[in-house]
Amino acid sequence: MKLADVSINKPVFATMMIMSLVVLGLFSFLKLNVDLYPNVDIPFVIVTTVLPGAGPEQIETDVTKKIEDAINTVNGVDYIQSTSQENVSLVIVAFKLEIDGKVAAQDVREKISAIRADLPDDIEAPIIQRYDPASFPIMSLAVSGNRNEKEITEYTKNIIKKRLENVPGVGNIELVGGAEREIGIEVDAAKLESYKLSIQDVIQSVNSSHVEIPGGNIIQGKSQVLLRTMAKFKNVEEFNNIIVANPQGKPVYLRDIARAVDGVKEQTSLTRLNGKNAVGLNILKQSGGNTVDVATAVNKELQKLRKELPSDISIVTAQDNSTFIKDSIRDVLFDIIYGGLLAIIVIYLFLANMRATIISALALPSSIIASFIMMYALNFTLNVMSLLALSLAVGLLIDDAIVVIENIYRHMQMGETPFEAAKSATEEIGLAVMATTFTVVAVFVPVAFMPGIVGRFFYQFGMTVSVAVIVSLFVAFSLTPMLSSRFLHKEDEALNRNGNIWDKFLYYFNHVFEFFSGKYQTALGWALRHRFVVIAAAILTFVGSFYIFGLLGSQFFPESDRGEFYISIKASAGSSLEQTSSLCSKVEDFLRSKKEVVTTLTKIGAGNDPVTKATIFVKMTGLKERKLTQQQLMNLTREFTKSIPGARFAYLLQADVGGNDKPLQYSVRGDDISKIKPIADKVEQIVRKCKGTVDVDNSLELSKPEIRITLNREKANDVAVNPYVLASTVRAMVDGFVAAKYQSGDEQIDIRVKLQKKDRSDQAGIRRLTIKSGKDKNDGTKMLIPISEVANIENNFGPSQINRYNRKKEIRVDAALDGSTLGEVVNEAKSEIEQIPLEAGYSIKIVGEADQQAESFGNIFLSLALAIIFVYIVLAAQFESFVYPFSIMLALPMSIIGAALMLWIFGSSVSVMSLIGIIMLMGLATKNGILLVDYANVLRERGLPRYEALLKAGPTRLRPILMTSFAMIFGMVPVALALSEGSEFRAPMGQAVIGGIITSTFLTLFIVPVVYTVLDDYVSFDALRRLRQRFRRK
Amino acid sequence: MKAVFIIYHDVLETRLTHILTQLQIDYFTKWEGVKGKGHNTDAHLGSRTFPGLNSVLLVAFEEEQSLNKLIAALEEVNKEALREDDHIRLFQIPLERVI
Repeated sequence: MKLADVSINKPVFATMMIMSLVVLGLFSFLKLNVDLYPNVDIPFVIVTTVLPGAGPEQIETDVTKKIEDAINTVNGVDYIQSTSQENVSLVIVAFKLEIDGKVAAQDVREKISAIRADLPDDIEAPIIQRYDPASFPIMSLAVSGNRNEKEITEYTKNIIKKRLENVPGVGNIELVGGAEREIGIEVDAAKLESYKLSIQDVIQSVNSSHVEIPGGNIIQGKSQVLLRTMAKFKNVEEFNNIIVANPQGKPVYLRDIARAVDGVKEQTSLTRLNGKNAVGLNILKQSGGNTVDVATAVNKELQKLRKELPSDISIVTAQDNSTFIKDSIRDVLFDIIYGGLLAIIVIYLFLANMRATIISALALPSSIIASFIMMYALNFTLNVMSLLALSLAVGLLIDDAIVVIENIYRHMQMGETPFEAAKSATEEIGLAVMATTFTVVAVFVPVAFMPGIVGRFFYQFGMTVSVAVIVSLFVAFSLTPMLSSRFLHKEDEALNRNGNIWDKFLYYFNHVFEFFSGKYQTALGWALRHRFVVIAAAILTFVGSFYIFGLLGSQFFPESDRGEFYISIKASAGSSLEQTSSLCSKVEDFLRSKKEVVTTLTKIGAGNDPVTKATIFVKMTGLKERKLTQQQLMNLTREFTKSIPGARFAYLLQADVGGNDKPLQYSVRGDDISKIKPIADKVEQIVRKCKGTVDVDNSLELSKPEIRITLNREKANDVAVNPYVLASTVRAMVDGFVAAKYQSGDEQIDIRVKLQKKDRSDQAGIRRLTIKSGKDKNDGTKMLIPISEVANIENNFGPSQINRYNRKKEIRVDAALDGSTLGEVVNEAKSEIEQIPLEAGYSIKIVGEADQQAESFGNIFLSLALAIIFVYIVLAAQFESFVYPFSIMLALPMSIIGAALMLWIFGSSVSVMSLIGIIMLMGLATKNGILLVDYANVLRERGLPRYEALLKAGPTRLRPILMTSFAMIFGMVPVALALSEGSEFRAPMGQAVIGGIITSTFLTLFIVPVVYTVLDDYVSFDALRRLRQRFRRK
Repeated sequence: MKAVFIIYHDVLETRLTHILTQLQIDYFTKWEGVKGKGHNTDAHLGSRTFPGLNSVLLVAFEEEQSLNKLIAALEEVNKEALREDDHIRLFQIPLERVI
């Protein structure tokens, strides 16, 4: 072992090698960014197009379909999903994962600009966004106070928002809710009619009276002077003096037909913190910025701001992602530290030697710290996944050092000097240690390169573990033998039976171990004499593990109690903001009556949502301070909301890795919505019947009442009114038209011309509205025609939302789960859903979490297969044998029974986390077999017969096998027990590993030697047979 | 004139160097990484099965006084060793001519 020899002979050089890794590691650590999850490029592009005043059907035909058709030709599209709702078309394009998100967004942008001419003229420019975690707010603030909403909004916008925008790292700040200032020109329909004017006249006059146009430059002597025509009003009152028309020389002023009001925009959204109206501020970080750093800087600025605020205005932090990140990181660090300490205690118990314990324990921090170099080099962050890798690797990283030092220690007990023992023991065990490390790497590399989104999340996990164990191997071959050769002393060995209580404990612990070691040798002898009984027992155990797996449910990611959840509310179609708000208030009041609830943050009509949609974010007190679990509070609230009619409620967990949607989703697709509906209804009935489904709903929005104005073309032609004039006039009168911008300080405020509220609040009012015809009257002015004369006006109902999937109409049936796992419900519903008759072109597909779960599980099984193949390759190469690896790999199935049993005992299910735990086991379970077979081979090469070699190798390697297994088990105890808040999601991984190690350790102590002899017989027999055949030929 | 072959486990290198320095024996020929096995001792073949390698020193003496001092020093080292495996071996042979 060259590295060990060099390190032992040149201790300063060895120390400096490790020191350089540690120093570089520490510097890398300081430069690592902190984030919640790895920065994964999920190539999703979202196209949002606003067509003001358009209904869902018009949006679908005029905007969504055209965009879908254009985008469909882009290379690498996986699927296209769209929602057409009032005013807004939302097209989500999911690309295949290998496509670069930036390139995808660029391609989409080009396609949209190519069809821009085909889209309606009055759409707002389509917003094309790439899915970027940085585009989600990192903090939400709520500003409230004892002033009117407009004042609070103005103060928030002009003072608070501006101050926070200057904080380093802050990318953007969105204002949610509140009352935004707007100059309203409120036109009286009756007066407009009496003066024979149309609303277009008003718009035009405002637009032409409020201007500031540059007039070019003039040369004065040697200098150039800018010429500007200044005709902008300085105060709102001045708008009233605009001359709208001048019939027969008599001016009609704006004040005669309308009034200019310095008011607020019509409210379409609302934010409420703990029952009080507030202005919300969503803080977004700059792309690539560090959430924790930005949030810390924002919090510092907030502290200063709070001191300067007027006494009647307050700022409350409603949500702060950095708190969760900091808590998560702290929790994982807790797992690493406690896991490491427990592993070190295990070494001390077995070695009963402080120096040996310290030497092997040094491998732990040095490997972890050195791993930070790779993390920095590969642009990783300190996130839940990379730190989870380190917390799970704690027991692994110490393994190599344990095995090396245990062998050195054993050699010293045989009489070698520490120097000699360090050299010879490292040489002897080197191959086994390398084999164990490389099998671990062989398992984690496929995890790192697993396909699918889950694979992206596990890339940092797999790479971090792989690099950390390679560093631990380096430490075990350099620092560990070097320190052992210098600092281990023979006199430390003696266990003192008469010492203090700790000495006595160590003495008896090791004597008990020796006792069991002897018993193990006897049992191993029996097993080797009854090989087929042992093999039959192994087969039975393996089959039994499938039975236990059958008892476990399956889910995508385990749920965790983070004390946070969302209630998504859909008020009945046609509900006003006030109605939705009063509905939310009832739920908020109920929630606030629970002492476990700290915060309720309600947002109605946020973003592009209609006023019928709302979400309530509920934050609970800490886990230890409350009696109700998150699930219990959700169930209580669910019961309460059942009594509220006219609304649909869904309970969503905090945005998890698996997403924020309901877990169970069926997509019913086809061309005709009337044919899809009965199919969707049947699916909904089946899902409702399934045990454990709650919040069952479908995406077909209830019909929304609408007033349809249908142009009578014949009549319209007679009076020269075209559809465009009709539609734009109606929109200007009802929705309003921004005629110009008013300058207030450095702010541009919309000047919106529209009818006063009473003239546009009912159908009768709409009927009376007049439009300008293209025909002239005798006096040369244009004729004004009431809308009812050129169009039919009728009440009707239209869908409030149209969903499409891959360019087909879709109704989605979804449900949340309570008491059942996703796998159980999907299986229960499967046969009935398959029996629903479907016409050609219609389909029912399972989507969302269940679809992702199926895909991810498939990828995990692929990784599992790859891991097993790589383990074989590593072992065959290391042992220079095609056959012996099989005896070692027989430990793999033995680990599965333990994993299944442990998951069953803890009530956990099969999930991505527990399956990754099982893949990990493939690397860990081989370790014991490697140590055993390797030493048996060494002894046989030294001349011992097979039976004696195994009988000696077993008990000799029992100590390092148990030490490494216990170190791994105890290292993972904090993870498996989910001791920290919200850590339940990673617990199944620890549980599967602990269970698997227990059974594989126990069973491989017998099964591996037995299978080794069986395979050895085969190899010998086969070799003998070939030899005979060769002789016969001669 | 006498010549001796001293065969020892290479972990004893520092110790041997120290003895030679003390006895002012600055004339020798040395082979490192030598494989071998003694009577009733483990083989040192530099493999994981038989780990460890030996070193060999060839020293020629014109007069026996220095040789005796060396033998005494080596016997002292051997007394300290717990295992026969770790003993330093010395093979003495007559030396007929040195040119």
